[in-house]
Amino acid sequence: MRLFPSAFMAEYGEEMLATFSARYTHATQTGRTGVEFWTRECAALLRAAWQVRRHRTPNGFRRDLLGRKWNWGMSLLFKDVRIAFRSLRRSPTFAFVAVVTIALGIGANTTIFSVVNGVLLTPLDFRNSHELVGIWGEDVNYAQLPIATGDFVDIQERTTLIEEFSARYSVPASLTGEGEPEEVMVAWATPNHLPLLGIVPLHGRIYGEDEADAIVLSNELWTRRYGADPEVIGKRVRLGGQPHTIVGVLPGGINPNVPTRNSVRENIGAWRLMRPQWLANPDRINAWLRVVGR
Amino acid sequence: MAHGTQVQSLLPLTHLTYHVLLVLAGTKLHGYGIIKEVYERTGGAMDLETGTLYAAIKRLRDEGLIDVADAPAVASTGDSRRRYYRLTALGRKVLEAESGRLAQLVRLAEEKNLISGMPRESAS
Repeated sequence: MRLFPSAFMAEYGEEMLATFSARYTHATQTGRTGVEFWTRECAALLRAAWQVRRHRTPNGFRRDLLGRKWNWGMSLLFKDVRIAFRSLRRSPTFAFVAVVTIALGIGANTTIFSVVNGVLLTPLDFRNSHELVGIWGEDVNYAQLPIATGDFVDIQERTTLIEEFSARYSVPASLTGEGEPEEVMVAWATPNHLPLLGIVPLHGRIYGEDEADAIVLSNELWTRRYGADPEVIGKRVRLGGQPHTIVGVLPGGINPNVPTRNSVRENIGAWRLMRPQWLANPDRINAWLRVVGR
Repeated sequence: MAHGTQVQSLLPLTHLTYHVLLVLAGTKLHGYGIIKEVYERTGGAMDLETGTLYAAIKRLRDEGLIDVADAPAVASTGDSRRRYYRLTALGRKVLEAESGRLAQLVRLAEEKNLISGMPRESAS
């Protein structure tokens, strides 16, 4: 009887004991106090306790006149769900086909939405990202190609709508020094590239226009390889076999990698200076710069 | 009439509910009295367990169909833990409506000769 709510027991507890006592007395007099009697009484108590807690009555009314907490709409839903399950159980082949079809549809929709959400709906996590544009070249085969250095110079000189441009090029390089050697993706970028995106270093600074051996680490690389140690600023490492100095660390929580063709975002581990003399090359054939404007 | 709509919306009653309301019609009974009366009226077919009865009593009280009554002047037992119950006006209306519905069903069954033992006028 402790299974009943305390309010119910306070209201009916003593009375139930009296009634049960009378029933037991009668059952004793008629020789019906065996296992069946106790089983039925205990089962009825369990059933009634559950129904009282669920605000349902044994074979009770179909409607509540006094505004019970029981949600009539939900009971219809549960009834429909039970009927649906019984129907599916009677036709297992149909149920299997239906479930597989629905699963495939859900999987396809989820995949499509993930792509659309990531590419179209979710804004880039840069400062005033709506002001940013990616500049691409194109030819008969590809709609998005890098820019040649000669074209980059022309774009900067002739465009009036965009106030500032930056350029970037990424290649893998080996990083040695502290810890195991590892290959990281290195971005050669103009000094204004990260500031153009609105990214301020967490520690240190961005490299200057004449600092060819200064590098800025991504937050992921700094955390993973250097244990998020702020003292990493000024450390000497070897990148691509050449000595470099760590001058800055990027903040976490923001992906500094601008999407490339097909909206892929590389995982750049280190940023370094794009040599100015490269950008001065009037070449218009070899296209390798990824350009961003604001 | 709103009350009539209220009554109709509760129909049909279940066996348990109908029998509990039926035994309370015109009288007051305590819990064991209800169990005993239902058992005797159904010839032993419905033997209500304690838990079953009191869950029903709670619901019937919540629905306003029965209520606690003063003990009759001549109570057959001195057990002070027992409480007596009676039909409310709404409970009586619901019982009457359900009885009418069941009577209608019985008439339909009679027309189909499904109920034996009832005297019928000869066709000749």
